[in-house]
Amino acid sequence: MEIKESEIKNIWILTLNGVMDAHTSPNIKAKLEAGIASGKTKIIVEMKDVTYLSSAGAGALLAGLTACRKKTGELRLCSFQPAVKDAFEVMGFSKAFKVFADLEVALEGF
Amino acid sequence: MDSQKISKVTPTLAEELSRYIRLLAKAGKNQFHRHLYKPLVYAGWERQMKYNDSKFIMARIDEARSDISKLNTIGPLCKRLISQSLLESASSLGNSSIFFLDRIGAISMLARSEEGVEFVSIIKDPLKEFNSENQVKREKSFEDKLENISNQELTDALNPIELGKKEVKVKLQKEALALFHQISVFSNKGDIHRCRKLIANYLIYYAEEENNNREEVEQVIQALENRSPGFTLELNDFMAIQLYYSIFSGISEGDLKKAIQGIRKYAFTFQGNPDIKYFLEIDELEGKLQAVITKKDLWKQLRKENI
Repeated sequence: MEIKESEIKNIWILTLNGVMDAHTSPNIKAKLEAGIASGKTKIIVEMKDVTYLSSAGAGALLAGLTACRKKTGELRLCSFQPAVKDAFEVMGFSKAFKVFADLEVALEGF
Repeated sequence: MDSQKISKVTPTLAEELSRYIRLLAKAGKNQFHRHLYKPLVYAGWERQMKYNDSKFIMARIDEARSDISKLNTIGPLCKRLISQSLLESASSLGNSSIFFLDRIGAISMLARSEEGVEFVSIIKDPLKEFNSENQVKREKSFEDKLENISNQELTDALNPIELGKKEVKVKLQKEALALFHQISVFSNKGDIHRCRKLIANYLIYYAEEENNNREEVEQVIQALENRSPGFTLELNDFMAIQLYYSIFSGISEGDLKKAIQGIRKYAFTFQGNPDIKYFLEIDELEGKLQAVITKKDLWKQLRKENI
């Protein structure tokens, strides 16, 4: 799993690429938690190149969301591939997050 | 193979072995003989003389449990129970072993006793060996059964409990409240073992639903953690074992609904925490489940039913 970082107007953007499962999600979780601990509290995770998402992967995002909220920040998700979004919704994780169609929309009003 | 020497049996290990014995019981006589009966006989636990039946010894153990002066007799009585059940039948040995492990989880003196430690040391490796040998077989069986499951069955299995109907919602809230009340009672009594079981049930059955006293339960967990450090970790392991057992007994019984709901419950309860037991094994099963849903092109239908 590849994680690219960028920053726009103080918003930390993580662009993920590949499979998010039990093997790869601990890295994402650690990355998110380290970023949040260093003061990044406005975060967008771009999911456009994520080809598979298991509950373990969704759980890593949820852990990031929880850590972010504790610092009164926000974590948004955007640009899901349709099949990955379906799985995310069926497993019931989407209720916890703000999910946007693309990065541009996610950046609006942040 | 994990052949580490132990000086005390943790409640988690006792629970895990108890679940393996239940899975073993469904695996047939030969496996039961190989992974439970023989190790105990080879360790010299079989007795030549038959004196009481195992049920009588179980009653004596529970009697001794309520009398503080007899607590130190429980270890030898449990050993006698196993010795006796080895002479009776496979089912008696299974029940007695589960009984012994359950009491080990509940009575800390027994968890540190010579008999408790010896019993667990004898059965631990053979049972873990059984589990790892059967893991691949069970995963394959899960995959085969998934291939043949009907679309409707799969949809039903993935549906959460319908909370839209008022009476169902009220019933669940009442159950959760009753369970929460029991947790409070046993927490005040300092009965960690009962609390662990009750909280595990609460979190597994109501985690997916609305916040039925969830915050208060979290406070109880924190209080128990302060009183007994490591409680949260043991609680998580305990829940993971319960869910793992539920998933695999569902697979062995051909009850895919139970298996799929277990995977879903695991996902909700632990939310991707890699430190939880069976994290990789259950993720593997979820991968197979998602592959079948994709192959059958069911995501859209499932999404509609979940919203």
